[in-house]
Amino acid sequence: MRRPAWLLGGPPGATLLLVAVTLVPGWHLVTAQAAEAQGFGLYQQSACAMALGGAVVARPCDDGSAVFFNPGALAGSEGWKASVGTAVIASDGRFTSDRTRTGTDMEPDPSVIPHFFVHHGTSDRLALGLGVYSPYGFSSEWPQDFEGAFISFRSSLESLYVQPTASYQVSDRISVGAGVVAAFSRVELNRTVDLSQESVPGTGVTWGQLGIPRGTAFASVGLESDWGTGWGGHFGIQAQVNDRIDLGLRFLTPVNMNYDGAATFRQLETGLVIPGQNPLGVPAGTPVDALVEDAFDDGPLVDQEGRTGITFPAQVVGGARYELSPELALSLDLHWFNWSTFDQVELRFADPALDDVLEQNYEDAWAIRVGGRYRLAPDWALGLGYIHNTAASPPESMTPLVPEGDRNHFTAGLGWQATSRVAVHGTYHRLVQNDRRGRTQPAPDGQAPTTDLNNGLYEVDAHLFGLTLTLEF
Amino acid sequence: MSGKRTCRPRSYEALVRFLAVIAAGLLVLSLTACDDEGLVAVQTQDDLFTSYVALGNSITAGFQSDGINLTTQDESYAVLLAGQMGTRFDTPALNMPGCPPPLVNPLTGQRVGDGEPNTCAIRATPVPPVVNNVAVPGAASLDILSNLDEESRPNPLTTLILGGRTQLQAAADAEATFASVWIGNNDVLEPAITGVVTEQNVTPVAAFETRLQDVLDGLEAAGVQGGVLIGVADVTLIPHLSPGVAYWLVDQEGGFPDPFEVHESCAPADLGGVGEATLVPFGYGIFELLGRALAGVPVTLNCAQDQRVLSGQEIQTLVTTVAGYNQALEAQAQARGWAYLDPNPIFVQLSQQGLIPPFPNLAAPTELFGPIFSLDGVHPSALTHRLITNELVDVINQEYGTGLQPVEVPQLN
Repeated sequence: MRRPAWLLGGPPGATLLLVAVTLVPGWHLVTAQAAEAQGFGLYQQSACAMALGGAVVARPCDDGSAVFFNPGALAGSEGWKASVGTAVIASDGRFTSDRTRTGTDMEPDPSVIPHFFVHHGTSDRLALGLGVYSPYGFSSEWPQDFEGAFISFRSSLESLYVQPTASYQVSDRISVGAGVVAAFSRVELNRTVDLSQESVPGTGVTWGQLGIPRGTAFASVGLESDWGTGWGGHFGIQAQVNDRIDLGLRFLTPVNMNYDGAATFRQLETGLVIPGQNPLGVPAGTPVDALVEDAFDDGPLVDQEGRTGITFPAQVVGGARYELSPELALSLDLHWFNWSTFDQVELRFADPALDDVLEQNYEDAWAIRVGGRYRLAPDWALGLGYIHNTAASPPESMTPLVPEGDRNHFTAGLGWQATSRVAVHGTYHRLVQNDRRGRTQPAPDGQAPTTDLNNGLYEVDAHLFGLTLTLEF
Repeated sequence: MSGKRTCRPRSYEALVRFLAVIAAGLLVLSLTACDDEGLVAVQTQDDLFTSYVALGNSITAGFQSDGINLTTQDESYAVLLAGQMGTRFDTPALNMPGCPPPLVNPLTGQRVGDGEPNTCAIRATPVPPVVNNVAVPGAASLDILSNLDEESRPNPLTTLILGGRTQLQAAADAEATFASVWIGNNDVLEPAITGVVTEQNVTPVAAFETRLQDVLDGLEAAGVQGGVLIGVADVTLIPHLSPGVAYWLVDQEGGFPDPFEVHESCAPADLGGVGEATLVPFGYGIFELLGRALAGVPVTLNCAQDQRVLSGQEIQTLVTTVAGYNQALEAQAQARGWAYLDPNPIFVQLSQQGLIPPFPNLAAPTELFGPIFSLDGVHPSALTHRLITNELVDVINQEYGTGLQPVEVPQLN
């Protein structure tokens, strides 16, 4: 097995300091404003791998990120090596209405995704490692008066996978690896509630049938979970076909996450005032807000416990790397996400009458990753990459919650061997999502969403920046 | 990036080839992988009509035959005009049989679905995202601006259609580019129908003008780029009001039962009466007087002294007021570059053609007021909405240079 290259020495304390800084509370640790891969997948676990478009399963970068990119590729390393880094995602999103042709922008809120890897070659054939990374996450925030706020105006999902890994070289050319994944995650969902769609207490009609306009936000609902825990596994195999060709394959199992948390309800002012001679039988000048305020005091919309669950999908990645010359290597990965497991999000409340199901009906999705590495100088390397991924969400599920679609990515990065023990990688990643039609309105109660509800266009793109510091000691 | 190697002398030709291959590959991949979708273009006749909102009263709302439901709503000129514009136009659809259900037979009081005058089958579902027809039956000029003023005249439909907003607020919510405003009829209609004209039940022209300006300022502030103002119909032309002389003629021909006496004051002027210069509301002359006569109670219609009969002076007050309203409407239209339609020449012409009967045809209750007006004698029929639509098409095309096409109108007999 090849000896990893840019392993560097240095005080372990430096690594710990970087980890501490990177994981400082209050940061968006593991969310991306718009997730980078399909659905809400993330693939920014190494700046070096980012530069190569993530096409590294056949030979992961020499920064310990093999724990994620191929657990089977750790074997053969010697000594200690650790890397720490972050990716920053600054995304832009906009929804333009068919009817008004005016656009609403997502709130800008750059996110930081940290990663940390350490591994140790305990013998010629065995290596042990640990990775802390985030393979899933998203954060989307829109103005609260946005027409799509009835689906979501501020939502996020954070995940943190902790993965102890063992890798063993079973022959001169084949090594395997496996890791146990302890997954931690929390979720926050916020949306407004349309009074026109709610039933008038004691009647069989909705407020909308009594004239309350569609899109009258009278409440905001927030569900903020505690950290939930789930378990999974990660497996990989690497094969060296000859001196120039490497092959790799990895499989990340699905992880079921269950979240317990608190649901909060806040009344919003509607500004509506009922005139006289009304069918409600209330005096002229009665504010609509006064008619519904009891629901927040001792009615169904009191703060209460809430829970939900999500399955993080399985991933399978297979790829090859071909070394054309000592300076130049090309790689290609095919990446499959089992997104069809993300079919719906069930929201459960202490009051079952408030239970809701958010239909998602995601579909399995693919990505093709192409990368090229060119050694510019003894201490410098250039990486370029391209990714195309298909959408995981079907057209009827294109909403403000996760407005994703087919994407093209372009990456470029530099690696610098600063000293014999220190290496630094920096990468720029440009994400361009195909403009995609979607909706801002929820499906009617009891009905599955359809593309007939799509009422405008989502435009999303992002700039990503990755930085990883690798230390050998 | 990974793999430390023995370094060779740099081959920049190789680097250039590497970059060129990568760039070409990326270009091909990105071009083949880019498949943007787009907005669904609103196929309107002109961009001016991207979003249309209609303000007004019962006529615009689609009220006919003393009732309204989703069928009559769809017969409104506003809906027809939107159809010619090619723009999406949602109404506050009222379930069948209506709210109240329209009359089927005004003489028996039978209504659609055997409903009652107080039947209200509330709004249909699903509630549309935006209501484009924000007109409310019964609304006068003040009601577009306020539902809570002491002089406002809200009714159950005000809430069912607007849901706690004013018409102006609802129009702003529709983010309209084009608006039509037909208001003012109810500022003079009540005295016409009751036959009692006072200073209190007729909106002064100055007040109407001020409110109109506020409405139009509000619409333009909300983004409306153009529109059409429709003049107030001369209420003395509606078949709900019959000349006193018409009652005199029917009486002369023995058309009324004996207990119903028509005083000689209702005779033509050349016979010493004032019948040609007075108007008798249907509700008074037929429902009250004839109804009592049919019950055997002697009654007399006196065109000179009866307070419920519109005198020549009262008629003149109404006509002068409507003319004042229409001057204000036309002036505002000219000042703002909006189109303007005076509907009265149309009604005069139809009347001259004999299509608006001077006296209701009591022998044919389903055609009581002829083809131009519905069964309440006040509100235009579906046919007339089509005629109005085509008149609007003409004035809008003339003002804005657009190419709206007329709607089909059944042959008038």
